[in-house]
Amino acid sequence: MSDAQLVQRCLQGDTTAFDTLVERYRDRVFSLAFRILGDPTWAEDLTQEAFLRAYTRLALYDATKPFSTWLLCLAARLCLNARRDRQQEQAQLERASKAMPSPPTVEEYLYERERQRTLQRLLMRLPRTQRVALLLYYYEQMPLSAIAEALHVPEGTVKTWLYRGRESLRRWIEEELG
Amino acid sequence: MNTCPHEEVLHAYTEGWLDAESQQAIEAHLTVCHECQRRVAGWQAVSEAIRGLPRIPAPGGTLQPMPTPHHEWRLVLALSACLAGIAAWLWLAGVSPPELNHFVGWTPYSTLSESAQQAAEKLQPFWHTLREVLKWKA
Ligand SMILES: [Zn+2]
Repeated sequence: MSDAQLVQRCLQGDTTAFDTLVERYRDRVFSLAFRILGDPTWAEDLTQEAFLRAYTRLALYDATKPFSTWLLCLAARLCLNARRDRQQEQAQLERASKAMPSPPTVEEYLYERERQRTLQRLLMRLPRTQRVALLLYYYEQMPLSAIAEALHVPEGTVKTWLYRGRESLRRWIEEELG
Repeated sequence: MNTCPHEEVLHAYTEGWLDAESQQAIEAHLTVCHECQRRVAGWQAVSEAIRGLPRIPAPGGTLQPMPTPHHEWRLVLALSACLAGIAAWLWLAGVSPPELNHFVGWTPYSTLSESAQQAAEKLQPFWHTLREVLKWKA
């Protein structure tokens, strides 16, 4: 069944239809949230919140556009504005210090995984706006217009964020290579 | 084009955002400028790498079931009952109707009569909870 059909069913009161949508998109929403926030626990909370919000605002979804774009943009906007209180901040610092990454093994260093970890670490150094723009555009391959609409900025601003983000990453990687 | 284009323009070129004429001009410049070539190649590598980041499976079984519309109605009923309760309680506590404005934030606290101030203080935690519930719903 297509996303649009599931949304239709959901609006008619069939609540199991939404569970299907959650199953279909939870990994994608969680991955995006994790890439933006850099913390799995926080990303999990935001994923839950994104689906809850999508559910309560389902009537506002414009069925002429892909449901995935609407949902992921909603999630990205939540992540962009997400703030944590002190207690949560402290909890994350503690988790991070306990889970200090062990030095990579030779295999890891040579393989893809280490490069991906490095990229995620460098992404976290960017301003959140640039990170969100880069992830929506390259990771989720969303059109500029959808990103601009979701983040309530002109397309030109998204282009500038993409340029600055990409340039910083390029420079940092060059520096790391020495 | 002999001089290097502005960096943001060069970046726009890599995404094909420029008009045909500008795209061609930069393409021609790239054939003679190694510095710009290096930049473009670097940006392309960065976006390729982001594209290639793997999806991470969401931790299993953590998503709570969504509230059904049925629950929503119950919540609306419960909130209405709460508000009716508060109104009745204020009435009994002898708060005059103009002073009720305070509870929706239109009247400063200091202008309330003493009995209304006492009522307001007792209501604080309750009011706070109600606002939390409303915030959660929003
Ligand atoms: Zn040049």
